[in-house]
Amino acid sequence: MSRIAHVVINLMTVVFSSFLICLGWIGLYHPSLLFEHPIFNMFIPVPFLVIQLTVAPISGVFLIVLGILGILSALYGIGYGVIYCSRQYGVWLDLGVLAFVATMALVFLAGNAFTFLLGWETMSFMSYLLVVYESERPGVAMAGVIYLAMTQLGTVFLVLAFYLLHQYTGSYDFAVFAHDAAALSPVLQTVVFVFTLIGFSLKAGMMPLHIWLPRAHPAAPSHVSALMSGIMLKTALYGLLLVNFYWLHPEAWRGALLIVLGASSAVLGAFHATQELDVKRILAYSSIENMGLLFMGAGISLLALALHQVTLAGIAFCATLYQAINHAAFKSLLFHGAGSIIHGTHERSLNRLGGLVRRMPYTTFAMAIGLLSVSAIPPFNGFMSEWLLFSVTARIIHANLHNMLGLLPVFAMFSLLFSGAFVALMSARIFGIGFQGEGRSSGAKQAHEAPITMRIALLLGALVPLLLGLFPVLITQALRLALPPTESYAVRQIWYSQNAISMSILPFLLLAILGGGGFVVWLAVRIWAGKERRQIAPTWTCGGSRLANMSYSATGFSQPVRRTFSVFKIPVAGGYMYHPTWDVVLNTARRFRRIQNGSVRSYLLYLFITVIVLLIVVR
Amino acid sequence: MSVIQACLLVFFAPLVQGVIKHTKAWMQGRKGPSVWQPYRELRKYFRKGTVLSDQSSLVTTVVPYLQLALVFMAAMMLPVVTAASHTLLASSDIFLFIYLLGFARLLTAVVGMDSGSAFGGMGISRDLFISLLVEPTVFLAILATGIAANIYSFSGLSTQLLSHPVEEFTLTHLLAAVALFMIVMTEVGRLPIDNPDTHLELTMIHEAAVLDLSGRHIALMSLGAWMRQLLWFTVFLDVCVPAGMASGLTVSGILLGVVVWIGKVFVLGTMLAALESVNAKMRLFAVPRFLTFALSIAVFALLTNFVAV
Repeated sequence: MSRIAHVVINLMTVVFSSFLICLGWIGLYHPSLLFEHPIFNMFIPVPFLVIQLTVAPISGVFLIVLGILGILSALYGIGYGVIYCSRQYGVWLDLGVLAFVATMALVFLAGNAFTFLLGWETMSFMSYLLVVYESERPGVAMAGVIYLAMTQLGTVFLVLAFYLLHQYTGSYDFAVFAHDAAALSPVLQTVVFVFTLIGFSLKAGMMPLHIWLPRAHPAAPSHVSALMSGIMLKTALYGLLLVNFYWLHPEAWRGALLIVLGASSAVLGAFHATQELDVKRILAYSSIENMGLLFMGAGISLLALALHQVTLAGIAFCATLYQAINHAAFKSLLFHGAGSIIHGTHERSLNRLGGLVRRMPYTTFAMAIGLLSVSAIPPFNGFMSEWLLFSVTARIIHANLHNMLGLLPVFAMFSLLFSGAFVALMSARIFGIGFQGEGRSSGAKQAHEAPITMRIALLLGALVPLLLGLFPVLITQALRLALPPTESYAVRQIWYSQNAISMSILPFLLLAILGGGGFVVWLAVRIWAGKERRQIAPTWTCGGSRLANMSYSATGFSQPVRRTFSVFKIPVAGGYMYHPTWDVVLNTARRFRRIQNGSVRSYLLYLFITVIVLLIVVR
Repeated sequence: MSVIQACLLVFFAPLVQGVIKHTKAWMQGRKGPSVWQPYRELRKYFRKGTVLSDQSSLVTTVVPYLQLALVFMAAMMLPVVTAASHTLLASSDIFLFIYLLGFARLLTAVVGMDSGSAFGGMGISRDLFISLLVEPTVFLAILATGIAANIYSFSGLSTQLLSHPVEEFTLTHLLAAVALFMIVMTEVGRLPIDNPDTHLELTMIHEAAVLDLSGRHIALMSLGAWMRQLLWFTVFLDVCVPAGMASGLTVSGILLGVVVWIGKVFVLGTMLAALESVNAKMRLFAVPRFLTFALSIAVFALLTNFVAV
């Protein structure tokens, strides 16, 4: 019975996600249709409790991504969730995923501040419930608490920002914000910017505020991690783009701040991704890196916009969106792959994996595609967006050679390159240590391939990064529709060195030369040197008998990096920020404990004072 | 045209390796192997059977072919004898080229780790560790030379220097040339970074990565490595001294370009051999210092653009 309910609920998620794709598609290509006829407009007699659902082109892009990921994760969940079916409340996981997708859709569909915050809060809460789903495992409950605390802190800042916007524009409607917010006083705009930046950075896991992310992602079931990393983090990017490009007046210093924040987060996140051992923790740090790149891309675009370089700003915006889509595609694939590894071996640490390439061929294939995409290998999707980001950054440097602000794109480019090199090392480490060689534990030695629905989800998921990489021109054309009204570019301008036509065949050309060339080389060698004579022998271990642990371990693999770049291991999270803050909170609470003295008279006095104060303030 | 050029590189790459080895032996007072020795080695490897590890997978048997195809593709992109961009793949875009070589590095990495041998893991770990500092340096150095004129392709950079050899060779180019030369030394796996002649685990980087291969697989990987060495020479020549390269597609220009290019490559190879003979190998953890120096020079090269305008 619970098996049937499990499958049915997951299929419902698939259907719902397909509906979201259609909605997003309409929002992107026929925005006026939805502007004039909002999907849903429920007025409750209380003035600000209006639930309003609309689709703008930009949210359409995110909705499509959400829909695709929802389909993949639900398919994956059919196979992956079976192990949870026997548990009490096994079906709640599937219901939770459905509700999680729905609440994220609410965030993207929100047409006013109330709906947005409602979606934001329910989304955070649903994801919290999903994170602590396996709360019997050590560390999971704590991860949930930290996640909940951090995300609530972020919401406080968002509520404040929206409240300020409401006070000075007189409306909660996003359309009114878009129209009026740019004319507000600069101080107020600055305050709104800072508050929203803190709120969204907390959600995105920007570097000093990231502590929840590497804990929560490994704790959640894998298809939930895929959704969280793939699209939930993108809600922060969506909000950031909305505030900075559609509402507030662009300022150069804000772009600069975003660049510095994002770039440092990218490098530090990528460094930590090379150091961790838990596969899902590695991927979580890689998400921090990618969110850093996205914030950096938004910053570059904002900087260019503030300097009135409209075309460059538009291209940077497009590159950021493209990178966001790509990250969603390959990171969900990687998390699904990591889920199959855990499913098949019951091991999480790279040091206890190995030899999976022979035992789990489908998972290996999917992970290989995902790792190639994340390390920006042409012609996969990660490369296309980084290429775009790289070329537009270079052109912004060129355009601002007379300007000190031109140094910021230099910094951005530096961190783009540096984090790229780190990610390449991370990918080689996951693949080389986790999949090749010999299994280092009994779990890895007896690994079994994932069940059929998981395999389907993995293969479909592997197709997405490939398609996104093979059709860059089509995608940039579609993304052009989502640009803010102040920015524009022609697709021709994006790929400067080529025209759009040759750009659209280039990925196929690369793939053909790679595959075809490999075949030609094979054929040539075969004809010239004859058939290969093969002999199988054990790996040479200098004469000793072989042990699986003789292979290089994941810890040893990244030891040179840890030793040389030890400056990147800044103990900000532990020593300088969170512990002192926590101490202050505890001490304040301790001081306030004094007023709870148990005497009825003092409580009456407090009541009296409160009433007086309220009377004075509210009148 | 680009296919012909890439084939030229395939057949020429072992000779460069032979010349470097021969020069090095000569400088050390030895007679040294013939310059044709790498071709003989390749023939021997191709004819031999292969021994595969029982731990290895499809990766070992497929990736060497892909790796050669990949390096071939990169060779199609670089202006070698002519700077006419329409004859080159993807108009010789810098970013694409460097990332293709990065892909080749990643493929070498997965081949090296496939047998589960400790040597492979060690070599790959070191190789990727060094590449952390190499990749930003290469980009920034090459970018520095083109950013003022908004040029992002190798053919554009070469054309710029070809048309104004004196006026365009600025401080930026000088600094970038120094940084690039240091990177070329690192990337081709020569002393003082890596010792190409050793089989001692303390010093191995590139050699350790291919230690477990045999037969035609090692032939393909070695050929790929030699081609990458030649490609790095050509990158340096394109960006810093393109003199003698044809700018169009005339037959005489191309013939001259071929001759001049071969000459320049030999000069560069001899220089590297000389440097190898007078240097001792660095400790692995001294390499980052060397590379950070190159990186700072590249950053300075980029910064000169802000000053010069």
